[in-house]
Amino acid sequence: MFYWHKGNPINLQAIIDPGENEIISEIKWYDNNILIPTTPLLTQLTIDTTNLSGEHKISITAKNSCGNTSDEYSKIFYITEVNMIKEISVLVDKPTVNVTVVMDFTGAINFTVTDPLNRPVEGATIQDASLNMTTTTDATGKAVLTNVPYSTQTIRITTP
Amino acid sequence: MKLIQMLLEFMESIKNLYENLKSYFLRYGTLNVTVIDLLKRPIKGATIQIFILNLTTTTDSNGKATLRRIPYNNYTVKVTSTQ
Repeated sequence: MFYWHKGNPINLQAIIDPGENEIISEIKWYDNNILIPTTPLLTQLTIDTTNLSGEHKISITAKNSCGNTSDEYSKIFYITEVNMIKEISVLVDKPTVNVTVVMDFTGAINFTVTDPLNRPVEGATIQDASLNMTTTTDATGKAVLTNVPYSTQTIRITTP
Repeated sequence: MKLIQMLLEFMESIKNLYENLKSYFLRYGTLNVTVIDLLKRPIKGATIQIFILNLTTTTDSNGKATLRRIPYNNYTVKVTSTQ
């Protein structure tokens, strides 16, 4: 699997041998087994990843003038938004050295609390008990929890 | 007598050479890297690189990767991860 940063285009080049005295009559590209509409016999495919995320299996099949279809050839890309780089200094001075690297992926959660008439609720308490984080909404009913680790969170909202 | 002395010295130098070679070649370590997130969950597919040795590997589903035969030294290890 290739980890791919969201927004970077994926450029693929297919090199197909149709066989002796044959020509390529059909090329089909697929994204997660769904046919990608392309011009006929396209051998260079560029995929815009701006609106893609998660796992995408990009595959190709080809057919020659004799009607023989090739095996499917595929590559799997995992498209994500965040790319974190950490550099650590490690001293190797014994037969086995163990290191643990913590990649502190965090995000922010924006809240807007309103009443049934869509009016902002000031002073509502937003609480993530598992992370021991609490905030309250301002006069516009808004609050933000920052530095939240990537995960599914359970949030309790208490209105005044 | 002198011949025996020379032979003993030769054997001693061979022994020293062997010890030097042995210590030289044995001074390699294995680097085990574990990559986790803030909630201690393993991160799969993180890239581990030691540029000076031209070594690259990626972590498995347990967030672990191993680099072997690393000469004893201090290194900068680059960890790249997407999530």
